[in-house]
Amino acid sequence: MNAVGPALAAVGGLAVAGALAGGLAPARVRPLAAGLCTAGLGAAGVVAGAAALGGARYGVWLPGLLPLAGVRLAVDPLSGLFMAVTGAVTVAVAVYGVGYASPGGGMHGGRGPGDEDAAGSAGGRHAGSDAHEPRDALAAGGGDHGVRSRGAQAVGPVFAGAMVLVPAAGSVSTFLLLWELMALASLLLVLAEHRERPTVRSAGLWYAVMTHLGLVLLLVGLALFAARAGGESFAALRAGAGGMPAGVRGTVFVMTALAFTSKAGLAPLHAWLPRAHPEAPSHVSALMSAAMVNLGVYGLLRVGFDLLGGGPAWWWLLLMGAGALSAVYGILQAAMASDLKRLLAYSTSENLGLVVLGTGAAGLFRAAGDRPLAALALAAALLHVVNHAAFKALLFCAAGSVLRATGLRDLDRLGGLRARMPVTAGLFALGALGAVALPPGNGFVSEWLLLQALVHGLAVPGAAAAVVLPVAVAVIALSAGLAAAVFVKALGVGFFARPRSAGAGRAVESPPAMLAGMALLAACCAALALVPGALGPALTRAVRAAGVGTEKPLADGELGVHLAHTSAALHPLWVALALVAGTAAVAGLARLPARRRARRRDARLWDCGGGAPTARMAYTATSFAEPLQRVFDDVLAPEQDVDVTPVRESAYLVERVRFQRLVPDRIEHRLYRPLLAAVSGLADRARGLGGGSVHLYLGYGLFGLVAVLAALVVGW
Amino acid sequence: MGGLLRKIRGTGRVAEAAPPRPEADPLPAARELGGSVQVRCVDAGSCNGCEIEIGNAFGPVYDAERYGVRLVASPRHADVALVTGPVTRNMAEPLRRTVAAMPQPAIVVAVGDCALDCGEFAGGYGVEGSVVDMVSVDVSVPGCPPEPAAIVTALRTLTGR
Amino acid sequence: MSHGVYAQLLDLACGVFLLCAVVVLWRRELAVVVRVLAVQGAALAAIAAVLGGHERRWGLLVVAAGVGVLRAGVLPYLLRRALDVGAVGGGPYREDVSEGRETRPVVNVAASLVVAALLVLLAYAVARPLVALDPTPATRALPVGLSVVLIGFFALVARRRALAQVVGFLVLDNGITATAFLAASGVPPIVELGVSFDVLLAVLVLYVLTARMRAAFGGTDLDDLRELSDR
Repeated sequence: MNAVGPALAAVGGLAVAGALAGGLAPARVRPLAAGLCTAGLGAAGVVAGAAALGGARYGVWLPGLLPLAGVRLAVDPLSGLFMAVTGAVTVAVAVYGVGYASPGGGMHGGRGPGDEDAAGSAGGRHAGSDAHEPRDALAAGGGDHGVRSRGAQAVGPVFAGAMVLVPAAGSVSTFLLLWELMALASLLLVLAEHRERPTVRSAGLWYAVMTHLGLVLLLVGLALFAARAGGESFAALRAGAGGMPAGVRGTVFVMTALAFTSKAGLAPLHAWLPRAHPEAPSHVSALMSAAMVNLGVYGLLRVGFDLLGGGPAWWWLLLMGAGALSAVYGILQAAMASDLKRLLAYSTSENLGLVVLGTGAAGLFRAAGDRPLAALALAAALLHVVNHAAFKALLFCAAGSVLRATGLRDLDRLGGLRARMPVTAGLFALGALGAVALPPGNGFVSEWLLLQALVHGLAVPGAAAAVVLPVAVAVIALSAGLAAAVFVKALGVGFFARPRSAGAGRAVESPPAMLAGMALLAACCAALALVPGALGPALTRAVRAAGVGTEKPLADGELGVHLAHTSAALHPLWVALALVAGTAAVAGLARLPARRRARRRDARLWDCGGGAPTARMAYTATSFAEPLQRVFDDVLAPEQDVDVTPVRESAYLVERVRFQRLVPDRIEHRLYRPLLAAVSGLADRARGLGGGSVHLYLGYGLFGLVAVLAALVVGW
Repeated sequence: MGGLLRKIRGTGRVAEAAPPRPEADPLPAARELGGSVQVRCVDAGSCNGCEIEIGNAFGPVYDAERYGVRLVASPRHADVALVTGPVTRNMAEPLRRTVAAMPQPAIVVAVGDCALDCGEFAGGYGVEGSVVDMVSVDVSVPGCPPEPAAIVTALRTLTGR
Repeated sequence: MSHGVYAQLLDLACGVFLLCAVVVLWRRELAVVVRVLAVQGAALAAIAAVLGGHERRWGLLVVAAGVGVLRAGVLPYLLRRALDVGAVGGGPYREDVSEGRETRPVVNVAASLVVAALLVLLAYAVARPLVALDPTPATRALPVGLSVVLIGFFALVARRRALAQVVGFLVLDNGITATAFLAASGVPPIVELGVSFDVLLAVLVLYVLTARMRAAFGGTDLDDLRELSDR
């Protein structure tokens, strides 16, 4: 008996049930009811995904469900992997969301205007998301808007259900329908707190425009594909792809790749991501950043490898370029960001960049004929998708806990949370360990695999490979190093030291539901970090389903990771044990001399002889990022503004100095601003067409009609 | 770079020959320092005359570092506080805290007449008192300002070299 | 009815139908225009009746009667009333004698007639392949219906007064109905009934709107509506 079908039906049913529960249940039980449905559908998604990963294939055509095309589902191990990841994230985040939407939190009113003097709110923050204090939504509303509202609670399950079902789509129309459902539901969720912060609206606008431009590209690309292939089911596309001219295949690939990389948040089409992810309610951010962006990668794999059946090297070099650019650019912007959620959002851009880099490498190796290496690169990319989903969901949830407890996202005003929210701090540290790609974190394993693939790929012939692969290795190394700086900053400045504002000082630990959700994710992170080899068979099947390689990239049945075709092996469990033992040994050795000379004296903190240092003197995120910002000055091009006001009597006596530094998103400046200016210029000119005169409008209609008729006449 | 090297070669050694080791026995408290003394300077309100002389003492001519004395940037790293000037109101508490912040044994060297008895500034409205009044002084170097050689001699009694 | 007589009658009705549309463009006095519209409605009813008589479809004759009542009777009567209200009960704007006349159309009369000729040519050119499909007298008259649609549309564009616009709209609708009769011997009666009811409703709405406009702006020059635009 195939478990996929019933599980998918359960996903659909629970999404509808959750939407009804979120919409109709009384406010008191609303989050619980919707959350349970969401968690249930996530679990069903995991079941379906696991069954598909186990080798079960499933296909169904439901002609009655939709007019014209019907709904066609087709599940293979590749979709299974993404369904399982999405489902697992959904379960944990749904549990977390129940707590997140419950009343409470440490920011109830009473926050004086004076104690919030920005400690160093200048750096890293973007010009667009100006200095509005991110007020918390939860305290403000009595449940009629914000995350507890009917609308948000009803849309949540729909969003999760659409995400789980997108990889199951088996035809262009079904895929596009679910894709758009997912985009619209996430847009509504991003806008959930639009009454609290004006920036939400602008973020929603950016997201809406960019995601729909992506949809248009996808629609045109896939429609072209389907028209040429003579059918819109994936099976027909697969069959028809081989006979298509190279130009059409290239066009289809470029159009869909643009849409998918934009969804995955890759530079230069990332502009929506650092806006929408921070402004969404945190559990939604977690879902978007850990699950939704993955589906962009899924789309790339499905269309590029499976449906089009691979392509020439330039496709994959294009992907590798986009991946490398966003890996470095994303982590650099994350290093500059002082908004915790913005930092995490940029880090998403970085990690997906690495994933796409691996995907591109897989395509390149495949085009060069080296299937085993292609399989290894793709397996590394897929493993990184899984790892990133685990740690990024955990990090966003922890950031949401901080936001809920303090009402703050600005690292420059946080601090001291290790003492007040110890569990959250510990969980954030675990997630950060995964994100920095150092052992024993889970991100290390996949980045190591990726590096292995690229390093072994140096043997692949061709000038492009000889130039691109070393650069890609350098990019991964650079982004890993910067990631370490980023998460040391996030953890060190955000959670250690002393509270830098009253909000941070009043924080209390989150309710148990939130901690439980995060603990689930942390357990996933730990399991992925210690026994990644357990995923080996599943990855092999997924890679095979993508049509990249039939060989096993990873030798399975082991706790460690053995590369099947090279001599490399990694045992993360032993690495972790060795690290723990080493740390314990060093700590013990450090204690020894201290014990020998037992003379201890308590002295007050050395404060340079002045008064006790205030929280404003503490090292902030902005200060932490400053050296990096100097190093990458040419890339980041920060805008600095010093405004000195002298006293009236003398120009030499300074009354006030105002210092402001912004690190703008440079790609946005260079690429989007001219584009937006051009569009708005055109729109301004087009406004003249709508003069308000009815005759003019009627005239347009007549003119159009006559023109069409005349064209018909000439055509005949 | 070449210019710098030429300059070094052309200038040669400017340090004066080391005077004989002072007669006085090293302080008992300084004995456990083992001849290596880390010094933190505290300007408690000086006219900066003493600072110039301390600077000279650690300069190339008197070169106090050859006797095992080293200037450090924090009292946490220091064995000796080299205090100058009359102690002004604003510096009284910081001075006490500096000495308290040093690891034991904390040795205090008062440099200059002002440090010993407020000198020229005695009775000034901003002056709290001399260094002797604030913290226990182990070694004094009189003079307004004291010669660098005197400062070096006083420090040598601590290093014993 | 012999075939020759049928064709001649149909051509006559269609000719009157098209001529009325052109006259609507030509004449400026709204009272005359409304009268011409009534004639056009009668011609439309005649087309339907001739077709129904030829094909022995009595349902079509009933529809023809209904169309005749509505388009040659009710609608012109309503327009006439609106015109009279404007001319007599104009209140403080009594001195605005231009209400009954289309004083300065957007496109002047001579140019309008030239455009109408061009539109008729266009309609004939477009309809050629349609006629070639099945050259019966009815389909050969099909371009007339299309021409009236285009001329009606053009009247909508070229006339300033709200009432003249209503007339243009009705001419347009007459053209559509005629096209339907000529191409497919009429749509099912229930659809025709619905469309007619719709037209009646539209005219009533426009009638009210005209009265409101007159109250608000003192005239029914539609370009006054520009004030309502949001720029």
